[in-house]
Amino acid sequence: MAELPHTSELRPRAPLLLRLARLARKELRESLRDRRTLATLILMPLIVYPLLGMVIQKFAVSRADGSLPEARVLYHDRLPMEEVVLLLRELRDEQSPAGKVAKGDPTAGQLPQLTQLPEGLAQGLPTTAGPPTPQLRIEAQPFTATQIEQAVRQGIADAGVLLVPGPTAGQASGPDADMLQVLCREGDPLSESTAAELERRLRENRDTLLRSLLDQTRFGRAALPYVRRLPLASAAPAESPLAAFVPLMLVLMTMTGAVYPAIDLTAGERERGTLEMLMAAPVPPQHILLGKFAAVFLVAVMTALVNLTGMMVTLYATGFDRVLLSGGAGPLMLPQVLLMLVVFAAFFSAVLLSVTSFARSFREAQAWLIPLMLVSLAPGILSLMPGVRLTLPLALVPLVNIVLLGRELFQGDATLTLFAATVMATVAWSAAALKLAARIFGSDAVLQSGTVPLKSETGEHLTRELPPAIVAACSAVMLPLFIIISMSRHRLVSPENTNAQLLLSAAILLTLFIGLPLAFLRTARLPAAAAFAVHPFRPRMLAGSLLLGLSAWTLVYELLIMASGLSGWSRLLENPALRELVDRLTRETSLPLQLFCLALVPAVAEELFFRGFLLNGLLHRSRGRTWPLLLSSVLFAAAHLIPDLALERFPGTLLLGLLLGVVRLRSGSALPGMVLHAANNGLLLSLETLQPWLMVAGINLNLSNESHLPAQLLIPAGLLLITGATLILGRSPRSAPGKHHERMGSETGL
Amino acid sequence: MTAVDVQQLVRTFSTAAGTVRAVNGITLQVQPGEVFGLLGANGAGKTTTLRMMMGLLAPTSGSIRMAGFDVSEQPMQVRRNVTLVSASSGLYQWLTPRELMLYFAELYEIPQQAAAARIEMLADLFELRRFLDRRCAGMSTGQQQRINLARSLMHDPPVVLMDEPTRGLDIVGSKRIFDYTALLREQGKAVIFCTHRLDEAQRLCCRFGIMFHGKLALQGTLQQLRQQTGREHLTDMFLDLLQQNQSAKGAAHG
Repeated sequence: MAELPHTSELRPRAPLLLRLARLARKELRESLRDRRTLATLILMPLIVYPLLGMVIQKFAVSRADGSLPEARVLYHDRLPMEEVVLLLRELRDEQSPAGKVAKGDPTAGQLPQLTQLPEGLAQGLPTTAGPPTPQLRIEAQPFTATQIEQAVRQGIADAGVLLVPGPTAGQASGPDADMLQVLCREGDPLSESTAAELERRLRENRDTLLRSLLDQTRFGRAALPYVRRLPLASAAPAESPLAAFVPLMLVLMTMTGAVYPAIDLTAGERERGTLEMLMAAPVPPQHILLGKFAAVFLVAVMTALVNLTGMMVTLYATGFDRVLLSGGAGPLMLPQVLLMLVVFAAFFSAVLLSVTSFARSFREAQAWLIPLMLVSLAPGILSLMPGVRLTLPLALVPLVNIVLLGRELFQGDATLTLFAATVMATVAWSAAALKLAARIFGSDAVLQSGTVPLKSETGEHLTRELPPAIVAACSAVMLPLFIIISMSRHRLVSPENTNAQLLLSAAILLTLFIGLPLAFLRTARLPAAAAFAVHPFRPRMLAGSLLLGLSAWTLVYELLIMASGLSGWSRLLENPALRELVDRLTRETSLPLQLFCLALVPAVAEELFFRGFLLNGLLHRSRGRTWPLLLSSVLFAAAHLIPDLALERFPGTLLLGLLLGVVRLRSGSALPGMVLHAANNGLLLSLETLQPWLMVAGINLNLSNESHLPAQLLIPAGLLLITGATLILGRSPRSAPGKHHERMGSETGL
Repeated sequence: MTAVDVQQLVRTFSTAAGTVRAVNGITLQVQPGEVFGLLGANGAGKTTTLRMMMGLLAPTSGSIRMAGFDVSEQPMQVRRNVTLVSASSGLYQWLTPRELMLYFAELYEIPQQAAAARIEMLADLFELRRFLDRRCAGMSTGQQQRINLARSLMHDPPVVLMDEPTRGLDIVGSKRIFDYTALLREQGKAVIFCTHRLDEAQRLCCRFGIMFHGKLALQGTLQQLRQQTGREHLTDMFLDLLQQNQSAKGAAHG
């Protein structure tokens, strides 16, 4: 028989970066040759921005009712009203044949509406760049110089006209040396255009007066005051909606650019059957994914660049750059915006790849991406709201931080710290998303394309395990039912009848958390006990659970106190509604009924559902145990938010859920958790009753003032906790089970 | 050295209807210079077996050694020494066959000069020269299949796995694949040839394994199989298996 010819070492291995660059080159080449990528990359910005510019300009020029923006103008008490009228009247209207200037009677204290429609606007199109000329509303009352300055600075008025000593004061005498000063708010487009309009009118009227004076008296020009504009630094929170809109638009367009290549290079490859041959090559899947990431990222960066250019050109052409960049954005602004978009492109490319790596076809990937895009839009829209500022905690929230930072960069008030925090947070998020994408991409599931025979006719059913689909379907039915029933609880039973309310909530728990899954299991003809993880367990698990149930609340409480100290959740434990409920329970119901409805029933129903049915389904779907544990705990905590969304309960319930989950996984059964759960709830309900006994022991519990628990309680509770945890987590005296056996435990015995 | 050594291979899948054992305890060996026909109906578990041999799917249990390397422990060595030719493989529409082959040469770290020479050789062998520099989009099934075959043989591996390589091909196209498989055999390569067309397998393969519901129901040379079953043709042996299965099912239900 012939000897097997081995493939010899072909050539020295190239450095990792070079190999990654080669992988990326092919992906990029493929993407850039595709007309659809080019369309989103170049054509979209070319068409979208000019259109958008036109729409925004149209919107800014004509308000909803078609009127021009109105500006409030104040005048100095040194100026007589007649002079104001004379100086601020609109000459062109008087001169124009169709002049229709509304002239009030100055003696009656009414100021004329000195308005004019700029010629360009009369035809619906601006002839000059920049915002349109506003309608001037001149206040009837004069004000002092200080009042005017403050009003303009704070945005109460848009401009003011003052009579102040002119530059020649001291050389000449009397009113000849005075100067007309127009105050406006720096960086505010309306204020600036009002000032420009005032200046123009003052100059034109002065010149007319000058001509008439010269005609009459032949005096010199010095008899008339100077006109000068004085911009004031704004003290008003001037937030241009454009400043939030522009970065949001840039972010959305960057996202759009990455979407197509991300789908094409993952789900598209799978659909075309090219992914398999790629995965069969001697290259780790993570490297293939990095190559794809590099390509998607580069296309996204190119899209960002093209969009940024398109946006800036449009802004410049429409004159909105003055509005947008009025906050004094420095020369660093553009590079900063670009860097921000680059890190965002990295983040979003990684997120996209982790989503599209799931999908088996182009269409499926698109279906996955629609919710992702909607979820991404929400924080973007939040950032459009006025008053939302970038803070350090917000700088850590992906997408929100980018849009808010973008807005502040355009407004010129982004601090370097927040910029750095946003960039670093986004880089960290990108790394996390990329890691997730690599995990998904490298998993078996990625290769399970439609060609793998999965139909039951190809093989036999061996075991009858709990299919995740049943769990998902049951949860999908349960969630809306739970919300609706919980919300209509007060209609079903009078809220005054606390006893009946308690019994009703117990009945709801039993029906939904046990009855509904049972119905699903019956329909699928699956054994219920195994699906609910009702299995035998070692006695020490029971002992451990009891000890944890008696002591865990102290740990949870102390953790919450610490957390509230750290983040200032001052009302974390002070929910008035909850407190009132507890007070009413104590007043109106008996302790045994409370224990039954709020400790025993929830313990049984929630353990069977969350740690049994739900966790079983999640474990079946996942390779590890961490994600099922986390997800089931989050869902457990989320269910406790229904229906009153008492968010302050979330951290405590989440911790309890995690603890119960660990007990379930260690014991292989949902039963010990019931003991823990019931003991925990029961003890908390009984604290009030137990208070006199605790006082005898020298322990004074005062949970309402958010202080730490007394040491006399903490020390024994800590000992119980450690003993309980040791019993639960300690290694089994039997031989250590194999990895597979340990993972599935007895829950596979369905 | 045994080129392919599979022991007690099992792979299960979870589906909405329960767990399915797609491959159920397969054991087989293939020697260098041997063409092993892995036969069976659609969905018998052939492709799943090949994917596990390639390291694309992790087995639920069992062991696989390919070209002397353990698939789960030395996956990269396995991939350097094994190739999978599949009819379901697609091509990169925006690349030319030459670019595609050069890309795979890079993945397999074949020096540029050697890659260029190899492309010339494969282009002649599979008559690709006419469209070597045209983009793959719009090529016929036969052309795509030939490009795919050439691409998968770029690194000249000692073990070749072929999954329905003649699917969608006309008589001339199929003949070309057969001729090349015979050439591979002469070169001392170990070939596993998966097909549900038993007649073509009978002409080409040295030994056979007939898969049925995830199991290797029959295994041996044609002579051995004839002795075991008393049947002349593979098709008849397969139909007998079907018959037995149906009567077993009938007995279970009755």
